[in-house]
Amino acid sequence: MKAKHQRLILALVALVGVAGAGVLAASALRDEAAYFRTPTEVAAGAAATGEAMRLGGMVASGSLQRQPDGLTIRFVATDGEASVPVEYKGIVPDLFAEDSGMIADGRMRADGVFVADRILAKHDERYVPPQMSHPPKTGKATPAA
Amino acid sequence: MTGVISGSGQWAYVVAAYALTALLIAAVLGHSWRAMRKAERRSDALRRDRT
Amino acid sequence: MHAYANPTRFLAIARPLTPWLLGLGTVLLLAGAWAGLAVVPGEAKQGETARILYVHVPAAWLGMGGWTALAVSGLVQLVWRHPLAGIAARAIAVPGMLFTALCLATGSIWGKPTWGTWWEWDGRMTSMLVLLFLYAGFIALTMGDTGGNGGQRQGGSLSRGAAVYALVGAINIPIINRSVVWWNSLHQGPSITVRGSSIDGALLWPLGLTLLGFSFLFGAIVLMRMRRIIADNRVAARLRRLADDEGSGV
Repeated sequence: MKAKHQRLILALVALVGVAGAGVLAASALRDEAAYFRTPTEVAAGAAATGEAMRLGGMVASGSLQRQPDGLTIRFVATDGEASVPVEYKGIVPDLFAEDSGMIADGRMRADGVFVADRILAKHDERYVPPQMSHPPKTGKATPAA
Repeated sequence: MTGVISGSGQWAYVVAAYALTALLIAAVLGHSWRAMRKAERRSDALRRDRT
Repeated sequence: MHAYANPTRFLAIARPLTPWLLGLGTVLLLAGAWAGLAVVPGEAKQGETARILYVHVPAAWLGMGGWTALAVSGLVQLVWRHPLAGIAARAIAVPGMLFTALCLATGSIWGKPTWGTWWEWDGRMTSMLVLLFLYAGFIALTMGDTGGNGGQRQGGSLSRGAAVYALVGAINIPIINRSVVWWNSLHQGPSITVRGSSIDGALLWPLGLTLLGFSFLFGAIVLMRMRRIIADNRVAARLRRLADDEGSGV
């Protein structure tokens, strides 16, 4: 009987673990889908002022400016169709650069500027040796989720 | 802001990733090998006992 | 002895194959690591951290391939009751989990300098973590069913529950594969597809070496673990027969 009980407990542990992981994943992914916006969606009015959201897009060429305080940066996030100005105060990842993908967590301010409190750099699927530079990617950087 | 990470700090990440890979694969390989040898020796010993 | 007919034929191949897979896998993996670390240049944007790709990508493929093999074994066990199917499934679970864990760990180490974070609840990462838990669940399920004689269940076969679990868990594999398209958040899209590779040829070739090396070592681990289970089964069967002989006074 002991071995049978042990088996039952192990099976239950496995089941609970998998079910837990599934629920966790489903909720995380649903949040992510509801949370993630492209500049086109923002331009279409999908983001209410002050609502926590995640903005994904490319840093528009020539738009990156460092403010005099040395910490605040401003840039324009674009998906090739629409663009959103972004302001961020803090240290950005090393890969964050113009013509590269990025993801910012934050909220829209009343004046239409997205204020980010966290920025992640997104790498694209291309890998090239240093002699060949990355040509700017054409089209939408981040298709609607 | 060129977007290229520079400096030797990067190598720490690379070395960590490769070292972890080598260590974990070696550990599983070693464990599987020892377990196999032990089981096969036991099986061979029993076979000899019978004949 | 009918049940052992197949394992015997299997052992005749597996015994000589094991050292070959071990040796070739080690050599290829070392060559690939050397090429990835010392021969090819860093990547244009990421610099040196892009070298993590050569261990991360094969680990991901083998983690997913492992579960696919596990599901096929589960199906073969359920439908044809082949005596090796359950043994194979048990043997695949551990290296499958190993490579899934390696994929997650090396991805995390790559993510910190590249994205700026160790972990995000992104579709690709979350579904890969689910795969790790699936492996853990399968190992827990099959480790416990010892059948009461110290060996595996009758001949190492899977319980119906474990076989169904292996099949149902396979749903996660296409989810992992499509995750970067469905939930386009942080993880980049696929670099290598049927239409070609967006990794430049100059950076791609070490991946072939490490992929082959990882695959051979995966095979070696599976063979060693299968041989171990078969040996354990034989010991259990012999001990049972000896006990029967003594019991009947022969």
